[in-house]
Amino acid sequence: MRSHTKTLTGLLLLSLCSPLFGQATRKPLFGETHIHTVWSFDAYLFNTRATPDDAYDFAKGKPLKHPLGQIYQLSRPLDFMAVTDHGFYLGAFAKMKDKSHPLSRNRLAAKVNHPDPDVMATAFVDLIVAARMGRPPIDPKIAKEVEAETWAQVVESANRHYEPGKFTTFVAYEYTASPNGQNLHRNVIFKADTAPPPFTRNDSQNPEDLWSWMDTVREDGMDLLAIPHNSNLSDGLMFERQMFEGQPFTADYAAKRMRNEPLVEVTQVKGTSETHPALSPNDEFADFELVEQRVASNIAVTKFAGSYVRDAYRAGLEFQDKQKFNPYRFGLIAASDSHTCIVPVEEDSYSGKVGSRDGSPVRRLQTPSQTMDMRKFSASGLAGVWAEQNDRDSIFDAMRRKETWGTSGPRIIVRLFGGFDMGGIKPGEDGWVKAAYESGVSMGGELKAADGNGKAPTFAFWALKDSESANLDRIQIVKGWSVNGESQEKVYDVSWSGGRSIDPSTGKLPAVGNTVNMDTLEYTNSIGSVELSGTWTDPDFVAEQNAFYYLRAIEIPTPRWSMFDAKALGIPHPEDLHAVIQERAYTSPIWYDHH
Amino acid sequence: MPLTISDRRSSRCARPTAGDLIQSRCSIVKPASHVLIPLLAPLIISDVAACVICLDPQGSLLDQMQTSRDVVVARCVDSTSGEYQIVRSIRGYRGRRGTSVRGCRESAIPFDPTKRILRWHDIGQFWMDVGPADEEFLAFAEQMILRYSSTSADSLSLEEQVNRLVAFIPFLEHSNPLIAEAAINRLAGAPYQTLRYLDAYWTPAALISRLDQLAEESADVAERRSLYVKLLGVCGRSTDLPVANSWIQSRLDNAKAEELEALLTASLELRGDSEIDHIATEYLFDPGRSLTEIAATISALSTHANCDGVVSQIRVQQAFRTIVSNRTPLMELVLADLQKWKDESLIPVLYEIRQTNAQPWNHQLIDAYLAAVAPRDHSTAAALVPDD
Repeated sequence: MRSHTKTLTGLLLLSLCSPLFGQATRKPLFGETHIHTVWSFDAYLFNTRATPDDAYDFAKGKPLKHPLGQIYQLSRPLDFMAVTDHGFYLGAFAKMKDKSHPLSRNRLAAKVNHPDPDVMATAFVDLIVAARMGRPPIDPKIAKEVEAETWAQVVESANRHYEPGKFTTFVAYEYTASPNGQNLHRNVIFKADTAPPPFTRNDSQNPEDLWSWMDTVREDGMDLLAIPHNSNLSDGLMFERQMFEGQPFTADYAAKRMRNEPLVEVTQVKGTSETHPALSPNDEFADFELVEQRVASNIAVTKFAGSYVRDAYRAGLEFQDKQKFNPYRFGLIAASDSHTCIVPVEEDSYSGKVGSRDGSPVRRLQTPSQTMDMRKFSASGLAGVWAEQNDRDSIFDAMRRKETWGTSGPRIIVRLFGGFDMGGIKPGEDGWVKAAYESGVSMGGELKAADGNGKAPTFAFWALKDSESANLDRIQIVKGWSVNGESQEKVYDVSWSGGRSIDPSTGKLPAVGNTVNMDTLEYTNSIGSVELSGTWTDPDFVAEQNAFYYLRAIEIPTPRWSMFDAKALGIPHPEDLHAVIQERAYTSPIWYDHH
Repeated sequence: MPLTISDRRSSRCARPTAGDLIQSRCSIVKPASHVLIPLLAPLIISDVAACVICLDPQGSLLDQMQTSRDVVVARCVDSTSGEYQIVRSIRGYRGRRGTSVRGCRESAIPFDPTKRILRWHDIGQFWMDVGPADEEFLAFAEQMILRYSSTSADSLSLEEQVNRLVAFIPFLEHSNPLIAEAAINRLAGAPYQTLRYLDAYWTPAALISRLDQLAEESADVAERRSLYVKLLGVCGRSTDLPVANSWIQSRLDNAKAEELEALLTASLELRGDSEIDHIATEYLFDPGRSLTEIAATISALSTHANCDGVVSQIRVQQAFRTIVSNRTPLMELVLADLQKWKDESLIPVLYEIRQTNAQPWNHQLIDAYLAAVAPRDHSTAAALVPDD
């Protein structure tokens, strides 16, 4: 008996130690990986005075006061958060208030300290114009000192709020390069509890220099990763087909980029970067929360290629075909980029992004003349990860292996596996996850042609609606493939609610319907599904073609934030904005490698 | 027309009213130099005209030259190093002829070996390449700069302000777009009161003819159209009211939201107080009107209410007060004006809103209003419940 018990205990321990056990018990965690506090120069000018401590407390469920005075509180706490203040001039504007500090005598200080917030905000103009001209108005030595001093507080706050198992924080900052207003911003996230002061745009506007610095930091034993955001505002620069200074891509470049940037932020307040109707004319869901201006600018984006992730995935396949390397094999995540410490991802309580500048319905809905169109800002997004534990190691490792997804706000849980022998798996049934891990790869993974022997891959997928949001309309798998260096894409509806059938004449699934009452702004979950799942084998698979596959789960229509603001103001909803939207989640892709 | 009315209008560091939103709008769009954050109102900051909606700190090229302490003409000799050689100084003491300086330009601006205009950027302490040194424009700019060495409107009498505007009138339709832009920008940004003194320079028929031509042109003439519509109101009132009135009313019937402010400003100029009730009913309290239309209407009313003469401030004040009472969520569009006019009748209403915690995003504005307008010993002000 004793021996038998020992054997059972041994088997149990063995199974617990098995990598597959850990994988199968990974849990979905939701978090915010992009938020600014008083230490960001622009947030300070937007009248945000909330600190990283306030941001973490808000994420844990405590109420927080908006710069205009209203109180916001999450209905549910988040699992993790990375405060990502701008690295350049970190804490510098707040220091200008300190009369004993040299920065209080800076040429900008009079404006920064002005009691009128509108005057104060013009310091932004002076700073950006001067910085863009390579003549930053703050002494570099003083700037570095203040950045280091503030950074120590950032690190200390992140560590103090870290509660392994309950709430995870990350030491992080934003690298804010934007040559000519073409957005090349990245959030840099450290795995450990210590980190060197930020490498900023004052050091270099070339992201390749950031990656070199990151490599050095990693060699010193501190792992870190960078997450680019708002490629949609980069006017083609984020995913260019060449290096920053115009040289052709190399295998080393691709490896360096992917080593440092395993993820990209697919959606946030300043719009969605998945794809654009101009790039994906056959995708009827491509026109979703688009912002088509350069960052902090009224200049229209004209180059969509290079600005969206699906296009980058396709470009990556083309490089893979032609040159045997892929610089764009990244996963997907989402975050808000709020500059108020409030996570503004719920449509019915959207608080804007830029503090006092868009903190009221009037300010958000005024038609801009020569500014970014804030009416097109989105109440988005949220990061999802599949992690063994709610701790830094587990979440960081999930990001590193790209087992992540991004949502436009709702806490939709999604899972995607791919393999060549997954036909027997029934997502949703007991043990399906373990079986899927055993016979395939999870999102972010890679399928090798050699393992398939020409067989088409099968994908097992599952999505669960947010309990506080709308039902699910459908699950789609977005495929891209390349033939001799020429890429193509197709969107497949693979699971859907209701008794709909794909129209054979169009190949499209009919719309799910719309329950939104345009007067009360209520909707009902009388259509759609709580959960969707299934398996799908690529019907168009060609073994010799490299490909990517990612999942898109789409909710039934719900009112957009601008509808709530219009109702609050008693005005008609602006005709040029979508009144209802279909919120969604995007997983990291699974790649099929022929080469 | 006598020029004795004291109307020194200072927008320096003052909280802008709705009228200010239109009074000082951006000039020509120079895409490569536009950096912005979304802000609500334009201001005049120190000696540099800065429109904080688009965060274009420069305005027109002439504005940049006039508001900089140092301006030079220079030849770019090395685009890589950014070396320029100063050809001549337009103003200031920093730039001496023949001196080599390092200049900065937007990278989107291609290397140009011809002469360029550089201005000194005070905050960044550098020479900034702001545009080509077009000889015709330079001659115009130097003439204007020499004539008006000081650009601050604060220290000028109304007569001086009007005289400055008059000097720009001959250039409004100049064939050189830089010159025309500078002139349009200067008049469009002028206080409305000063435009009234320009009524003798046009006839309504001439303005209407030009406006009809502009209707066929592209959208980038919006600022010019807006200026001419306002001038039509001004000229029409003093010379040919029926013609002007007829044209304005015909356009109002199908006005786009972005044209509405100028048309209503002109309509009020022509019809005065009698128009207020109609405008309030038609545009302020019609639930079908968009926010852009409402904001444009408030702006037009504010413009007139803050000028002496045609429209009674009391009547506008009544309309604005009704917005606070009946369309409370829109109150932030009118509170600055009402606060400026010290409207004490709103204190109980605002106090009530504050106490019931409604419209939380307006609390700061309400607090500022009560602090500015309520008598010091007013019990309601003392009883305010802080947000914290």
